[in-house]
Amino acid sequence: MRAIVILTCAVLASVLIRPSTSRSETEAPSAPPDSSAPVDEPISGQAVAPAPGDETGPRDPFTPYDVGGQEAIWPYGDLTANEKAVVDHGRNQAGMDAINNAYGQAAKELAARAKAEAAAAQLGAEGLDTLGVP
Amino acid sequence: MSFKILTLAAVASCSSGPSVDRATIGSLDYSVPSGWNSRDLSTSQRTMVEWTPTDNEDAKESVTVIRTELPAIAKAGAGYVEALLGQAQASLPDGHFSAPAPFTTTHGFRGVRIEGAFVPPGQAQRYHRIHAVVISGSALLHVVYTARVADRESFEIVVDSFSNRGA
Repeated sequence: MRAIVILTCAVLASVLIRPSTSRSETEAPSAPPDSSAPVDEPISGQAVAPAPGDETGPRDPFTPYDVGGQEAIWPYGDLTANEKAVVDHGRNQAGMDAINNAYGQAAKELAARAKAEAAAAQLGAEGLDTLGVP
Repeated sequence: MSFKILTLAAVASCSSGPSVDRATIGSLDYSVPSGWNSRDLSTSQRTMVEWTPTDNEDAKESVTVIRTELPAIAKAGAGYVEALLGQAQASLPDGHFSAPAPFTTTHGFRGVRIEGAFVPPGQAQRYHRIHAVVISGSALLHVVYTARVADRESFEIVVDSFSNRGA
């Protein structure tokens, strides 16, 4: 019985010691794995890589999607009056400049306010708008 | 409490100037109009005390004195403080302010002041504002005067009175 216990301890000790010795700083690091070597791991289907020159880059988000052939296109002239009204409403840009300018102005004012508050904070005088107002 | 009123009694009764009380902030003494009440609004970052007259119904007047330890800004000098003080007023609603102007107090402290008016949040009437920043060693001292009916003398009493304690 005692021999079995000693043998078990010896096996456990060899298992625990092996990783630490294999990673000892005194030993030279093992060569990195060769990344160019083929991987034997099985995959579903067949691996495909684009031929040089056939790669596709990121899509331009402002380019309309291809709707297909001519038969897939609904010409404006074929639309009903109600459908034309919807399209006309979507294409109507009247007044958009004013809206865009308002957003731009609000962004400028917000930036100016943030800059001012940052300056006040640098001076250690935050909350100037309410400071000393009874 | 980091500030202390040194003398509650008026000390200028025998002089030709206005009647004032003396108070202390940091290592400096300063004057406030006689009879004004103080309120300590200090935080861990800054020492702040707000002074208001007893009868403040119409004028809505106050002088807030703030001391902040800002070695880098103080070392940068009055020119840098001047630029920041001018920028900082842009945060005030409907504010119209003059250009900041440098000055030197009677006791030789350099500072920058700016003057204008704004409409505080939730208020309908314009308030007058004079904001001075005085450099004292590694600290900045703010004197912020706010009033619906302005009395410039109250501000001048405070801002021109800073002196080293005991001097």
